[in-house]
Amino acid sequence: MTPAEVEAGLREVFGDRILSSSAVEEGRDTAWPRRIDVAVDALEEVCRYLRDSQGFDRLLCVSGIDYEGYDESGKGKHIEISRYEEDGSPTPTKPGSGDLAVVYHLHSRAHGGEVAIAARVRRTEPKVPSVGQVWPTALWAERETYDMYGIEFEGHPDLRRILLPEDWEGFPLRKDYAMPSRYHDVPLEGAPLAVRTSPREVREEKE
Amino acid sequence: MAAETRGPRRNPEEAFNAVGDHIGGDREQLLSFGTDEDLASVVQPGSDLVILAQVQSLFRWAQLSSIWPMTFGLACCAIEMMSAAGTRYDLDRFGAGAMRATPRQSDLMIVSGTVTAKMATRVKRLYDQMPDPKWVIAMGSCAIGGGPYFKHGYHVVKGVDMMIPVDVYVPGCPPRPEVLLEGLMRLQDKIRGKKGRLVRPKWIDDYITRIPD
Ligand code: SF4
Repeated sequence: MTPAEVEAGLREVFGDRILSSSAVEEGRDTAWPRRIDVAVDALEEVCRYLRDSQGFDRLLCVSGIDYEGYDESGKGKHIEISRYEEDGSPTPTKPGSGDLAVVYHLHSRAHGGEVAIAARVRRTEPKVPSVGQVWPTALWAERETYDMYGIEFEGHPDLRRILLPEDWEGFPLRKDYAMPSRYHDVPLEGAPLAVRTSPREVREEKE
Repeated sequence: MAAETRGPRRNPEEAFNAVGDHIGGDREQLLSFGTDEDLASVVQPGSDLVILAQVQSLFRWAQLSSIWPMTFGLACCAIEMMSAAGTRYDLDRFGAGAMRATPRQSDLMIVSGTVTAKMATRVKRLYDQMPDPKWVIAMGSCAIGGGPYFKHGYHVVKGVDMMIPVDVYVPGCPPRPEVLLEGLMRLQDKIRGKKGRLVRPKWIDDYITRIPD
């Protein structure tokens, strides 16, 4: 099985719902992994087809992309993202408008091939179908992608944050994420408490 | 009187202070009562089993000799802390090897690792649950100031000293076990009541003189 054969098989079954691939864009005809962009509505069927007919039996990872700062053709420019200044204050951001994408890296134990299936969604409506029915291991990985990018996986049985606290605001790996300076009563940046010199001072501090 | 045969008799208050000075002194001289004359002048004739010390110094000595740290690791630095407690570096030599699994029995919290926002409330609560007197060592760059990687991160408290008071900062990423032991000894000095002092190692001066202008 070669990358070209995998892509040819996909194009035959799904036609123009296969949008583009790294072979077309970069001329990397024979190299694994091959990135293949698919339409969002075809995502689950493509994954099922790859698992059952092409032998991609292993889901390596699910990740997200924020295309803020990139145009439709994928050409990008440098943009400022929010961070902490030297004095600890967060820099402001303005809301982004670029697309989001979700990427599934697949591997085949049968023939050793690797593909990356990418699906691009609008930032205003970041919804993709869950592939938890195809590879159960996708469930946690999709929760993480939801946690970091806010991409919602439809059909996921338990779509909650997995790493951050459940009441965390915002999605940190989006480029327009506004840095927090507090989480409840926890200061995330600022000045230290007075340096303690003896146990007695601490008792006074508490009163 | 027997005391008069042992040389000049000291006034008891003076002798008491002499003993106290010694107890507050270097670690090696801890609970050493100085010269025989000092000891003789405070021990009453006829009773040979009296140790006289400032009660506070004695308590401090007890506290610093049996610091029980909490079993509590947050990130990669905890590996070095475990190593410091293991057989090779043996934290127990300094009386600090009894890692307790509960804050109720601990004197020392070694904040060994990255304090995330999610963990910070737990760190604070554990600190509050420890009985006084209690001490904190901030171990590693993360606990000191957010760390080499997470200084601009969204999820990390930029220094545990914004949450709880810290006694000793042990820098490094991660600090080697020797450095943690050094930090522990500085904490013992602090408990003993010694003033902290920044000592520039001699090799730095040597090095500076050799840099061409
Ligand atoms: S200071 Fe370095 S070793 Fe320690 S917790 Fe932070 S990243 Fe890990």
